[in-house]
Amino acid sequence: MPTTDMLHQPYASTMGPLIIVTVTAFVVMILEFLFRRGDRRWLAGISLVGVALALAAALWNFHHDPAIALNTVVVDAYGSVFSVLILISALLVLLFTLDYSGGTKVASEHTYLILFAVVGALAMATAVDLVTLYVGLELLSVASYVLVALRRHSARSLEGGAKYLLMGAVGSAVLLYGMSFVYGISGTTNLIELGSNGFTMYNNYPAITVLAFLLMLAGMGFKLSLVPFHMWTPDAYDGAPAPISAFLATLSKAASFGMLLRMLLFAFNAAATQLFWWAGVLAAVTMVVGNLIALPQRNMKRLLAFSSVAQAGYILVPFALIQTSHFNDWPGLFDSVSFYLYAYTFMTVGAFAIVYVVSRARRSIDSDALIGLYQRSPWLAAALTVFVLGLAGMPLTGGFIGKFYIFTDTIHLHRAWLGVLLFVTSVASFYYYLGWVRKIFQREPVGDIQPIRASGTMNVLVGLCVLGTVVLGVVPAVLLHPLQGSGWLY
Amino acid sequence: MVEYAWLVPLLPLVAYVFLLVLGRRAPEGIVAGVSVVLTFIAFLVSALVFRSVGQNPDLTGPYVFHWLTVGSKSLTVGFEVTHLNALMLVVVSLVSTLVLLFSKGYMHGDDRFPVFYQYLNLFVFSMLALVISPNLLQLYIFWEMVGLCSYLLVGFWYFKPEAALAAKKSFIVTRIGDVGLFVGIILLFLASGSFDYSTIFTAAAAGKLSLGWISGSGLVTLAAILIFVGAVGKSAQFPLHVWLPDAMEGPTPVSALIHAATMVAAGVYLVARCYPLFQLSPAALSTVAWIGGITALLAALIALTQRDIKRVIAYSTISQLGYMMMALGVGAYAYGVFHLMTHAFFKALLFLAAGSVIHAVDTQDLFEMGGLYRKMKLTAWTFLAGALALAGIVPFAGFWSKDDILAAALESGHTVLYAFGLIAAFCTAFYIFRVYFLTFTGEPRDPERYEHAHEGSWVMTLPLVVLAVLATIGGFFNTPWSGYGLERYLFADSPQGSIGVTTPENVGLMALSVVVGLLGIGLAALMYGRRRRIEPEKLARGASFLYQLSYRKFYLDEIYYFVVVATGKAIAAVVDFVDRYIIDGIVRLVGWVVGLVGTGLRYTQTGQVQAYTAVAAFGVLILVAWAMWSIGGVL
Repeated sequence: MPTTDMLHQPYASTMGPLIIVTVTAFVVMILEFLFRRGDRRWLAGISLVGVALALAAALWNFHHDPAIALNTVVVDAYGSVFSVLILISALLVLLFTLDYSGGTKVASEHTYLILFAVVGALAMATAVDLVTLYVGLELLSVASYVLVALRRHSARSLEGGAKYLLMGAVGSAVLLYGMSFVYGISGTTNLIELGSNGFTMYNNYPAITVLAFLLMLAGMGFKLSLVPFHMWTPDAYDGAPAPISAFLATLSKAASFGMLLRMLLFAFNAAATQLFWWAGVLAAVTMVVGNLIALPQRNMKRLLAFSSVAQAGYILVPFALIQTSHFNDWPGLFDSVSFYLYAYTFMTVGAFAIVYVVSRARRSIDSDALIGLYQRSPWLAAALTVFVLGLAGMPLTGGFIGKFYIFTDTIHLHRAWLGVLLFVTSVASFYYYLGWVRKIFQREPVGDIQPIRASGTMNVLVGLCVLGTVVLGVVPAVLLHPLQGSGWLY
Repeated sequence: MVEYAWLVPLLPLVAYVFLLVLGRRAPEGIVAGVSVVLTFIAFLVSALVFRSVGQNPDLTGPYVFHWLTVGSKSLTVGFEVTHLNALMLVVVSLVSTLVLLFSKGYMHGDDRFPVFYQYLNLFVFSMLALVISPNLLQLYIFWEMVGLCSYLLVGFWYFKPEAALAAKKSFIVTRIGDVGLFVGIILLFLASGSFDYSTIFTAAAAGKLSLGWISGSGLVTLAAILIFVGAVGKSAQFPLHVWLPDAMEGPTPVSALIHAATMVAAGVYLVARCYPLFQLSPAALSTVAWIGGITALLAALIALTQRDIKRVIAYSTISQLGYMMMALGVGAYAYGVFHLMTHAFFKALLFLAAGSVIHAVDTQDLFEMGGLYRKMKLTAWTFLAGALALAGIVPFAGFWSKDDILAAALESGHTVLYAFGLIAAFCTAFYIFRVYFLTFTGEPRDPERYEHAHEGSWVMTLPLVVLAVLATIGGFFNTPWSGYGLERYLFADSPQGSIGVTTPENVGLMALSVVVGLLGIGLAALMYGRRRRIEPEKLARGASFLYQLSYRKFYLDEIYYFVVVATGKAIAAVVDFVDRYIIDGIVRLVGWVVGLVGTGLRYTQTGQVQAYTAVAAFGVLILVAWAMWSIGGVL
């Protein structure tokens, strides 16, 4: 590409949010280095402003026609939907850290580490080259490993970080191995080129294509904690600081789902009928095992970890439906995935936030700490009830609409058994979610009832999450068809 | 103004949320004040909406936005304003305002005063939202919500066993109707692919409604009758009328608002709203007419002998709702709606006046009252206005609407129904003046109660006066002197220029109705008036069988109890056995197995990262091996 062309690429639209977050990250890093004393929560304030600006830029991109820069980064509705979700969860997580670092001794590097992770996540949502996608993924992952181990003096935190690092490395290796097969048989890493000559790839080398598909799916499966690649999840979530657990469960997963879907759609669409049912297998195993293993959990963070495993299984169901769908159905399937992720993000961050508040006040992470929460703090009790009922899929929450859409997709696209499995496992999940609700409204049998007060930022965070959960449940139309019209995918 | 009609239900909702936030210890003045002011503003908005619909029939909506997609069908929510529901908005919000004001005095001192107002506001919101729903699904949601509010309010004094029982009964009996309505709505959805009134009616008129197993016209009839079943439950028509008298266990303002003026009229409104559908099916229309006629007569006969002041008025409500249904059934759409409006005024008035009496003497038994005119002149006069309106004496409101209905029944050839209506009219005049004479005239039968009786404060008397004025002059809205204003208003958005039939004034029939009404009043005066000529007790003994039949409400409660409850218990015993020993066993087994598997799986979570990696690697291996095997080799 000539140099003059390189100057005239649509950088602002394709990479605008990414650049804003990068600059913010460097500014925060330098300031963090310069001001080493006192309360440095204002750094998180700067990060919030930067992320909010990036969010505005990403929302603005919805008005932009699809475009590509350097043959590598695109702007399209697909990328914007995921970028917006990533930036919203970044905002929520940063709000969360604001309270966390105020109340707990924790190394303060987390602010710019989160921002660098967001840069990686945004690259995963918008890049169309396997190499760039991989770099984005690693940027996110490396930052995450450090973030999990951030409580340097806690053995559990270090243990979680180490396990996540080891398993993440294996995952990256598997993913890269799969990508190398794709490159080997097609000679390109560019998804656009792969998309246009996918037929020859499968027709000439069916076995290697299947192998590549499975390895890439499994590699991302580590990040998404799909069964059987999920086993690091409870240890990492439990050991990590609470905001980082929320970060892993939402932002990291959203970016990984965005990357996985785009990668598989472009590279393997021509052989969709042969390949995508493997995603169904993983989805089924993940839903069943994730929900079963969550049943006996008493540790609240571990339970949320397994719950996030099971939820990843639900979100993977539409991937399997690509097998039987027509190209015209893809926007609908994408809607189901993105809608569920939005709802899931609000519910999960909210649940982690309240679990953190309660466990710190009661000095226990056991779910018995929830007993009498309704007496201690009706507001937190009501909010947590909304979140877990949403995760269980009760009506009037975004979780219900999300499941409802995935379920109708399975019927509509002739994979009813996946829908039925989703329904059955959701019913099983009621057992542990409603177990929490029961404890929340149970009366404290002994001892005095100390009210639990959350800080202002925490209340704002919880309020936003309740709002998101309920609005998506009552007026799902606000987010139902972000992709209507042409040009959703570059 | 029409595009702001959504404000009307929103204001009571705001009041509800506000009271919810204030909590249970909020001062009575603030609670009642906020509710009354917001509902009054809602009334003003509805009045403006009413006016602008009259001036601009094109602006009526529906205003909808996308809500959900089911399969390929898109569901919408929103609101619409038609000439019919603009009228309903005005009536409902006006009566609600007055009842909310009245309750300030009636419920004064109750421990759960703020809760009462919360429920009432929630009800007003649901009722108004029901009225402006643009599709059947949304209507159904609010239909259930008003049912829920009714349940909560009937059982408001839940510590009284009768109140708790009555609440349960009212909920269950109306649910029977609701099932019919729901099935009807689903049928229409399956046949037309939409819940919207306009889409369904257009498809039905064009003969495009069809399902595989039923003919087009059969489907219309079936759907219309199923919808009517819902209306029968809600509007307490025979044979599902038994819940309404029991619902009188609720506080009297509730009876006035929910069980006289608004919610029970929702059934009539539903039939009126779906009138294009009913008009396509003569069979459905005549079902409506006959059920209405039978209900009007039956309930009037039962009301003759009841001892409880509120029950008399409750049976009267059932009977009057029967008139409305009969009007719709014989094709007199405008008259049914007209009667709905006048009835809302005079029946709310009668209930509130009765409430005022009950508040004063603390009993509902007619035979413990008497002579109250001397203590409560205002209540007596306003009650008299309501009673004259109900009895159909010229020129009070009820006269015009009831007489129109009777004339339309005769005109359309339903001679038997006309006779039913006329006999019921005679009974109506008799029973309501029986109440009047027993309550307000004669000597006090219980001197102690009489001593304590006194008129309520202005919050209670003002609503009475306003309603009394409306019950007196409300009928002129649809007379030759106003150029049949209501008919013109209702028909303005109809392309044919009219909906259903109207009949010219017939002075002979009018005179006959008035004479019948006066005869009823006269008989009541002879039996219960100051100079009694006929001893009621002797008459009761003389016609013992008939008296018992009426007093025991035609034994319908007993029959239902025997048939429904006994059968239900037998089925329940069988189901209980199956559930307890078979289903429960299976559930427990499944639970046990699942728990075991979950606990087992937990032990795989060893904490050893080597094991984690091994499992993951094994997983990849299985997947790859399976894939290679199924594709038949690597090359």
